[in-house]
Amino acid sequence: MKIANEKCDVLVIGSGLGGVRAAIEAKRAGLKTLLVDKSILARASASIYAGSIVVRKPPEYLVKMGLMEPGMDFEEPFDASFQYFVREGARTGGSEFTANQKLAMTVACEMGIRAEELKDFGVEDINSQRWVGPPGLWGRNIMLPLVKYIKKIGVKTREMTMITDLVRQGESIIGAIGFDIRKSQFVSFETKAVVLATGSYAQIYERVYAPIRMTGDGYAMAYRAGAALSDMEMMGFDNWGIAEPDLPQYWIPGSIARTSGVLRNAKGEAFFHRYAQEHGVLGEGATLSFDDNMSKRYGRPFIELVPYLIRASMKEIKEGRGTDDAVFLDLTQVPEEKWKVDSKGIFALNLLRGFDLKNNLLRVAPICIGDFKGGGVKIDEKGRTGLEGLSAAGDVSPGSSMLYALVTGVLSGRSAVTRALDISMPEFDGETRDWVEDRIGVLETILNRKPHESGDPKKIKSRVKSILWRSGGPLRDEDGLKEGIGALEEVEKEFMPMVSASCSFRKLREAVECRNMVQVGQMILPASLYRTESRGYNQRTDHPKRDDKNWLKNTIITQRNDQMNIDAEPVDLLFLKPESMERAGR
Amino acid sequence: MKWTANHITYEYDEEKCTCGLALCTEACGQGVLDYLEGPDKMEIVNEVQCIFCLQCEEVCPTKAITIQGALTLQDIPGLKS
Repeated sequence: MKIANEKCDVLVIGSGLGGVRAAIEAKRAGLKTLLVDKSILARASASIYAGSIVVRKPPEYLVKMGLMEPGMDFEEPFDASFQYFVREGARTGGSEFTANQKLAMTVACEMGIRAEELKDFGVEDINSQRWVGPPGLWGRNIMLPLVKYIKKIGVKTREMTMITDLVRQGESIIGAIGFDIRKSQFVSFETKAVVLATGSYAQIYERVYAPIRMTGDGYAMAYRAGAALSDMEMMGFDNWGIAEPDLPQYWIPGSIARTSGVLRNAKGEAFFHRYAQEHGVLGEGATLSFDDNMSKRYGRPFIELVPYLIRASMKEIKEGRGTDDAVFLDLTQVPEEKWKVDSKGIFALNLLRGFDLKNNLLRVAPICIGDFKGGGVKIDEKGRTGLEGLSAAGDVSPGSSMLYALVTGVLSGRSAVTRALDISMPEFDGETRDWVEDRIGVLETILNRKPHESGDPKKIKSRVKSILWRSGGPLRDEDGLKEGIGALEEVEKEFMPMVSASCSFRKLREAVECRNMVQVGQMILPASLYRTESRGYNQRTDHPKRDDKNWLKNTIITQRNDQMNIDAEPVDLLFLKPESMERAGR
Repeated sequence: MKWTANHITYEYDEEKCTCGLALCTEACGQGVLDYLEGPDKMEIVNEVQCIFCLQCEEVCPTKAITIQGALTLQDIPGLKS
């Protein structure tokens, strides 16, 4: 077999905001920098799809109209941002007080200046995107100038090249292997440092709002290379997913959901209204009036209602009072003056395709939201993973949001620079070369295997997605999780050995994504089982309470002697402790 | 091929699909498009999932895709001021 070879000082994997920003850092230090992506540059990233939160400050006119909450502004005193990170967690890792506080502090301190700095790289208006572009392209005015910029300064880019494994020699990462889809060619890369910026694993779920290539490749690669992963059970969900058979599966942003809608079950009962009163959801000043929006009605900021909305909706669906695995959002009684804004919003027009909300109930159901996640490849406050030569940025590490990707992009890029300036080019020794040949041999087998129905990558993917949604979705319990673990084992043993790429490198990408998805699932479910409490996005019906006494911890997954090992490490409460932060208990 | 979703029209001219790079398929985050190897043509496989983000139209070098009528917030009267 022929393996092409390429050498560079710093190899960046992934062309979302984290990867691109890391590449800028490496190139500016004068290093030979190569950025590879399994798809085309930036276009398939979550940064362009949903990425707009470089500054989470919606235009004032939308706030005034009650369409948007003020949100977080990077010009706020950084301690407010920091508190938000630690409390919400998912923005900077973990969830609900389990974030790495040193990293959260670094992100809070740096994000304002790093957002400003984007102007140096040709991003004209860092505030512009979120509320004005079409959905699915919110990060366009940030990502496209950045791609242009890295090409201008001489970062070498390589599209349509999928990295399948990191090359580890001793305790260091010294390269990567993969294949070029367009050239139909296997490739090995030799490098001094690797920045992993491969995005999230949201696509592991059946119901999901995230671009399709978010299959968790980086998590699986890092795991196989021996890096530690933290809080893999923390993948976020929201209640507001469209669940109509004839409409796209997409998240309904606040503009519709935040109106005076009423959630109803198949019998027409306003089930959340009842649930809120029976389950201590009501906050101060709750009006309980259907004339008010949900936030006023139940006396809580909208974001705090989400976990309750999910629980209540899932309960209706599970207990047979839903419809087609969904519940109804009733907007038929919304007064005329509110329609003037909402019904004409882009979401109603483009996503709902003229669906008549005034006369019909809209099916909605919980959905996995790619940018609410808190698990990933464990990094420190410098973006380092613990393996020499491997740093990570953006969603592949335990945080999310554009601000997080931006700052961790700088950190991981800088750590790669430090490493690359410090060492000479490592050489693959004999053992490593054998390993590379062996791994490529495995890929070649998948490539050339005769197609078989049970080895169709797309079918295996939907099987995995369905398993994960059922057992590792918004609500979890011990039995379900164990069943899911068993089902994934079956996929691994029965289907994965049959997986075939039908001699197409494009399909080989699908097959490798399949393998990665199974492996990520095999981390999420046990991690969720291990955390015997409900915290953030790990909602366990059999352990419904948050347990700060035992679980102010991160779950840590590592591979030891080919076996998966789960541990828990106490969170370092360096700056803030939960009891010192104002928040109504969940 | 042409399909409409309420006010939006999506038109795909297969004759013009000649770049052989599958840029549209790669840019589609919703899995609406697929790429047929052999004929080297884009194929619309799951139009229900289209969110009219316009990426496919934007990356197509031969203008084989035309989407008309998709709105952004900017198009909504009274929202800008």
